[in-house]
Amino acid sequence: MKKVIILCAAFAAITLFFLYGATLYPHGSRLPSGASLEAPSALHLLGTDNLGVDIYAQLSSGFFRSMAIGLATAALAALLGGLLGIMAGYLGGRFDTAVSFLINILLSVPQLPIMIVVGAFFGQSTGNIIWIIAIFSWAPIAKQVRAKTRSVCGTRYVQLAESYGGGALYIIVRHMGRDIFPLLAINGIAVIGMAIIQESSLAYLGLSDPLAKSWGLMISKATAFSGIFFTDFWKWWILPPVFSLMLSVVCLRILARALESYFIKER
Amino acid sequence: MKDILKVNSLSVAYSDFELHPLSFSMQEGEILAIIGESGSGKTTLARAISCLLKEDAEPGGEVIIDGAEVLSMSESERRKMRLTTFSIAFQNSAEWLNPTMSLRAQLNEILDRVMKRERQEARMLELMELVGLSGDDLSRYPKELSGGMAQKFLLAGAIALEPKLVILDEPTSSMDVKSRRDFSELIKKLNSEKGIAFLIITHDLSLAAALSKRVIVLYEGHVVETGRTMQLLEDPRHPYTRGLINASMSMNLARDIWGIRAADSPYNRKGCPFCRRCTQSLPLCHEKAPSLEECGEDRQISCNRGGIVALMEAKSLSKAYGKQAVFKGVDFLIHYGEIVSLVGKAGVGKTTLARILAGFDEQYTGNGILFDSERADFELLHRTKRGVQMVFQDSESALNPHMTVKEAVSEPLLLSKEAPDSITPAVIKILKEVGLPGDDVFLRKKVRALSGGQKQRVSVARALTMEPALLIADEPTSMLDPSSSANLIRMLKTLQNQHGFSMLIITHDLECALKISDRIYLFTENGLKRLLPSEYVTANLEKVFD
Repeated sequence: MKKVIILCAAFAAITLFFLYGATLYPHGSRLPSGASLEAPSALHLLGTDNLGVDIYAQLSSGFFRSMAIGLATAALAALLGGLLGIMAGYLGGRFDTAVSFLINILLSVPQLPIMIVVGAFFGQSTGNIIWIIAIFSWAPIAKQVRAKTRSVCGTRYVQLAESYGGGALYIIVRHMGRDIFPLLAINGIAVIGMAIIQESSLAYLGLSDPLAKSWGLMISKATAFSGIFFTDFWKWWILPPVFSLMLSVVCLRILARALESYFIKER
Repeated sequence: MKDILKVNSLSVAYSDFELHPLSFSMQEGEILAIIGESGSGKTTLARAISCLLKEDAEPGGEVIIDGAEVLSMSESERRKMRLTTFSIAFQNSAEWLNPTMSLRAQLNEILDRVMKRERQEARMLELMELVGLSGDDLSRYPKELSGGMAQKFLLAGAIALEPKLVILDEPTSSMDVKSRRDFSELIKKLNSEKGIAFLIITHDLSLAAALSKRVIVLYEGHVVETGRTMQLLEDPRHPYTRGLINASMSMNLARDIWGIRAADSPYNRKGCPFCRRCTQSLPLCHEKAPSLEECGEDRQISCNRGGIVALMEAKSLSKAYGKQAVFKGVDFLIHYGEIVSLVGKAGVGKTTLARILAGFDEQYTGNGILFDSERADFELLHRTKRGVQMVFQDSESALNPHMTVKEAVSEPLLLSKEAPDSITPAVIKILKEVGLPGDDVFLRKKVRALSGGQKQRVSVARALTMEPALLIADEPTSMLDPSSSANLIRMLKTLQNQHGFSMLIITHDLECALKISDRIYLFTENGLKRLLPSEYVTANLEKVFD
């Protein structure tokens, strides 16, 4: 539990750091606020890009965009995965066969190429990004939830509860809830991290909203700047978004792991 | 053959006790036993027959001894019959002896009626020897006699004039094992050689079994069952008779002995006298008194439900997994208020059968399962009170580890839509009954934090919240250490005895089955076979005092 609290605090600190950049920080993330490619200074904490837009401001707005996309995706994926997993595990039969088949297909196809094709087909919008990532993220959740549901369904206490007249909703809420909720929480957090990376990847490839400030787009633009690695610019233009990306994703990942071991210990 | 004793609707009314009109007859040279608990009216009956009732009693009906109605006779006429035609030996024998007279003097008094003093001495010695006393005892006074000796002497007095009928009231109550055996032998000898008929009033079933040909079971002044001794003892039809047999130590060597459960309120002389202690009573039983009716040859029973009722009955059950047969043609029967154990080797299908009987497995073939003579609707039986509940072998998986004790135990009540404010008190009551604390701390404890024994008790508590008529327990003690399992078994038996439900125990533990069960079945591939403990357990107590 201590580890979970520490990680939550660390994540809150990261959020606060970017919250400052997105609100009180004097420079905006869209319009140039200084000269082109200024090095970090007291005025521009992380310097500016080639158009003179403040890097820290861009990073901050990118964080909230990434988090929003991650959360929305995770919520969608957890909802879909949880619902389909529970129904497949509880109902069994044909429904289970169909859902399991779908899960296996989604788990076996290479995700990124398909996302690129689908993304390109549906056009560049944040909404599209969210549901495309969600579609590819619910399958592992559903697989786990289904397995858990099936194992709980087979226990004597569920059989007894059914014999006492407990309906499906009662069984799911009272008997499975406390097994399935941790699964959803852990997987949901993992999905946030994964969604951030996938969104950045799509943005890097130019398949995300071109107007939105996202970390992937920042990296993409910076690497497109010819000869950047021959200058010092990469130190404040490329490193901060890459580092932010890694930090937040790793932080979420460790949090998911810590939660998992906490729930396992609690059992 | 001639009747030596014929009782026609004999009734006795005391201010606080009533002997209901009862009728029976005894042939010459027959031994008849009347059994029942203390207070069932046995002694009143003996006194009524021998016209020695206390003054406030009002006898009614007729008692015909050797052709003469004695109740309406004057005492002087009756006196002529006493000792020569019929005699009686009471319990608490010493009270019936004059403490100031030596035994010789007391026997003199009796023998004076038929012979001269000179010839009496030889007869006295003969009598004393016959009952197992010595001639030297004749000069003793009653206070010098032990209880057993006094009883023997009283018998000597009762048979001194060789009457046709001797009534013995608790004749062996103060005798040790050896004297009892000698006494039985003596009664048999007197019966076969002199043709004396004995009416034996006793609560000692083994004495009744050893001596009598027929038995009358008396309860609260009512005859509840009559029949031939062996038939009645081997296959009791009335719940009371069964309770008496189950409570008899000498007939259940290996068993833990439990009396019939106590009544919650006294008999108000309305309805069946036994209904408050009966495990199968219906609302009707509290209203309507049953009458004694014929059931089978030489057998009568007084029960509104026609005797012990089958609670669950299954005929020729078979179970197979694919082509692999688990068992075939199993017949099963459990009565109301009975503990039946199913024992058998591991893997023979005990648990499978238990699950079928508990309604958790419908994949079987057979003639179906009857519950209370109707086809068992397990869905309903699981959800309603007085139904069927099962305690699974593995309490670990039978309870949701995330739930609190209260949540787990209250689940059946909650789901059967019990009034919400009555649930918590019911849960606390049940927890206390199964020997767990009923305080808030324990109620809020998570199931996973409990020990194995506690979990098993919580499982039992949960099943008992539904007040089942049949509780099926699969290996209830297999996970427990000897002390916990002893506690659990005693607890189950206590609850069963108090609440009067039927219990089916599945176990491989023969000792446990012997301790607790009313009937034991051995489960083999070919079906169930009744195991009689007496065939496997013997005790040699009778030789101890030799």
